[in-house]
Amino acid sequence: MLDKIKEQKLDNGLKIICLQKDDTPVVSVQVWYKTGSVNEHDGIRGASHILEHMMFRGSEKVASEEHARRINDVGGHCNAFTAEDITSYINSVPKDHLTMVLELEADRMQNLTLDKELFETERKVIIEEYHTYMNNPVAKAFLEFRTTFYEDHPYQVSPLGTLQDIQSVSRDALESYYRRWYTPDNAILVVVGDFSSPDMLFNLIAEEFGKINSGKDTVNRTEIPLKSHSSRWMKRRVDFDVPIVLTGYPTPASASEDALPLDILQVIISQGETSRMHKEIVRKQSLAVMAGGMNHFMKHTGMSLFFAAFTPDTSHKKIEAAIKTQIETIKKDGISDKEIEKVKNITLTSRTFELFSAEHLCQRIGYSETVDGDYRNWVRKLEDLEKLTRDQLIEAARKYWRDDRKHTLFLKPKKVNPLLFVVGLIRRILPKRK
Amino acid sequence: MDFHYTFPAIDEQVLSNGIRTVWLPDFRHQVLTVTLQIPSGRFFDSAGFEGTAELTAGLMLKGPSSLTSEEFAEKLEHAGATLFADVKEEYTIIGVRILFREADTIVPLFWEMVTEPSLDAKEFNRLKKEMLTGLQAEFADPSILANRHFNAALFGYQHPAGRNRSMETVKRITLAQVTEFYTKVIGPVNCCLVVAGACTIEDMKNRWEHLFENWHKSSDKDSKQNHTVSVLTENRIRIIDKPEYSQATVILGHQGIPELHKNRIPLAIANYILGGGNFSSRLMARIRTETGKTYGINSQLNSLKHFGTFTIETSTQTGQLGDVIRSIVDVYTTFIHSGPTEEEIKKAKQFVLGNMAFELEGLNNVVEKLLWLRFYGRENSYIENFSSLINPIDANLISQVLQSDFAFSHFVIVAVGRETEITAQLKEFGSPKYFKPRDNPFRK
Repeated sequence: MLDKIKEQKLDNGLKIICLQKDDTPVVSVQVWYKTGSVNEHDGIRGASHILEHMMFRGSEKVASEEHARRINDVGGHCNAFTAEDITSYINSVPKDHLTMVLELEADRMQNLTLDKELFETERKVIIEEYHTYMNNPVAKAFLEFRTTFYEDHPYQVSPLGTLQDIQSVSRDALESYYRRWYTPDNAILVVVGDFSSPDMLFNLIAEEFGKINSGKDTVNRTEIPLKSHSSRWMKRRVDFDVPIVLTGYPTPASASEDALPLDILQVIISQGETSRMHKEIVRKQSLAVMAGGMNHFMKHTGMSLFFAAFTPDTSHKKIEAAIKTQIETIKKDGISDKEIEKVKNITLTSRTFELFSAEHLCQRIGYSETVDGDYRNWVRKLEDLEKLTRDQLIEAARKYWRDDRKHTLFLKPKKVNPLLFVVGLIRRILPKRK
Repeated sequence: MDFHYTFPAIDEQVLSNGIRTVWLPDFRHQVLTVTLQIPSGRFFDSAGFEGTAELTAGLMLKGPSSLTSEEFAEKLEHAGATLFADVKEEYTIIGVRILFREADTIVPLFWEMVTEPSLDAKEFNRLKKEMLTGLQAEFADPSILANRHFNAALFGYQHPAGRNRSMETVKRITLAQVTEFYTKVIGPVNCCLVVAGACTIEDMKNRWEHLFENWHKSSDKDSKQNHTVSVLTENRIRIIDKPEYSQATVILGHQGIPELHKNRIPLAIANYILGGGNFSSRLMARIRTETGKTYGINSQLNSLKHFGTFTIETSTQTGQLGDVIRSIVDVYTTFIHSGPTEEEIKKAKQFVLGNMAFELEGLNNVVEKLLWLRFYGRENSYIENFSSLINPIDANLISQVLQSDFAFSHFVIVAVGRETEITAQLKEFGSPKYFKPRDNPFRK
């Protein structure tokens, strides 16, 4: 696939990446700005997210909400999301409307209006979104966990921001942020779908974006690892009926050569019914109802997360010990050839099905380019997988999944449902009777 | 405006055991999917035992009787295969997605799972525990709570749509009942099977036709449920108390129309304009864009074979709930009485036609569309000639249809949030019934 992806850079620094895919008459156009909550500070926490909302509230040529309406009107859909390192704008439309999307994105890259009255209305919407998130007891507790995990790091405050800053950030502060970070040299434009040729596309993009001035102060930070990260344990009582344990370990940056080994290990230890956690903790020991994990790599650092949900009759200490045992076993004994082969097959299958969707491919390329620094990382993952040795895998686990750097969160229900308690007891008894 | 699409060349036949099989070659990528649609779903659950269909499908996925579930999972996951099941109200989808090179191993295994499932006791207990835990988690989700109570209030206990699985119903279900469900309800007759991937039709048939045909089993395809929906003669209001929430989630709605109703498409266009069209909708314009009182609001026209629902859902700060509901009712009433503008209809039609390209992008979407068509007795021409269904729709037609099929003067209103703050705000709409999150929706 690498040879089919084409790229070009405009004089103002805008990087364009494109991939032709003509099996369906659609095209996905995405702009990925290399800024997110990592570039915020006290007083403007949540600004990246607020700006994401305001990007739909009018620019020089486009009235408020008109961007979304125009996309809808042609049968397309648009969306956006804000993360720690990036803010992404996604537009997927029938192929004949490619030019319209490029015009819209170019206009709002340089000519956002940031109308005061609309800003105040949108502020209310964002406050509603904030409350929706915070009304979820598990999400709220995880936010607190995350704040502790990323202590003293620019990732500490999530892209959601703080209520105080959302309520108080000024329109002018938002505009300063916009002028500084929303520039062509701080953005990637990715197009995947049915367009006539890369050259045609590059010319079109040059026409729309070529005149936009590059930024003056958009140098992004070099890698900021987590500082020394000592082990912590937290317990929170929540309005949620299911006890949950979460364990997180700091990881390297997404572009690190250690990211892939950790991803492979994560599949083996936590994903699917043949994963080690499921086989041991759910099936064999009947400790948990479900157990899983994921890696969340970001530009500067990240988290390997493991979690289990269980019934109230089970001690959280047993759950924590069981998760720890699985990790220690990997560090001590490594993984089998059969498990590695399984990961290869799982990765190849999911990758192949992903190829059907222009939007999905576009997102993968955009994310890889902005967070990893090179879209080829995603494309080469399967080849790199073949070259990894078992020693490298064990080494990655030993280096990053260390007890002395682990953070644990135990979510204990405020109320215990007696029915669930009984269910837990019964399922302990039944296997023994057999 | 126009929409052009031709389905890929397929071969279709009804096998001797009653399975309608669609063979769909697709050489874009070296993959294969096998998806079976069984014409029985949640509505086949006996009253008081809601969750049976879901437990049955979940248990089928644990593998055939010739293997332990661990052995089965090993074979599938090692090959990178993805098993999936989705139990809807009226049908169940079970399928597998694989690399084509694994087809000869996995397809027979998948079929053995469908036709001779183990229905193992240990797996049943584990699955049941998982479902009960999942139900516990649902008490924290205001949208799930609101929908559950909406259905209960609109349909009542006698109607299958009014009843949802709960801790009580799932706890009652035994393995014997699941086995009986499988025996009586799951069978080849009237099933639709789509086999799609990197293989010619001839090759697919040579490999697997005999396999699929070799499933002989009778089954009951009539849920024997009462699908009559009584008309609302007054507002039915429920408040579910969640004192710890700073927001209130609300669903308003009433009955809708069935999928095969002659006015389904004009009403779908109307729904897009009213609230289904995201930022192009009237509800979004009023409640979010103009006033900032919500992060999102949408309306849905959900149609099944025999009946349907219409719902509007949103969340807002608790103190604003009364205002928001009044605004919703205002937008709705104005829309019903005055109808949409030609400009709105034009844009809605453009969306519906343009969006079809996305609904047909990729192998999985095409398979899903084929199954949907066949379930409602439609041929591919329904999609291929979709423009001819959409283009004639105009403001007059929609106004007529709104009056004839959609002019409801009463709603079901369900609010989840701080009861002490909500009660006063809902007084003008009627007398509410009060519930706690864990209450049985039919207890009062």
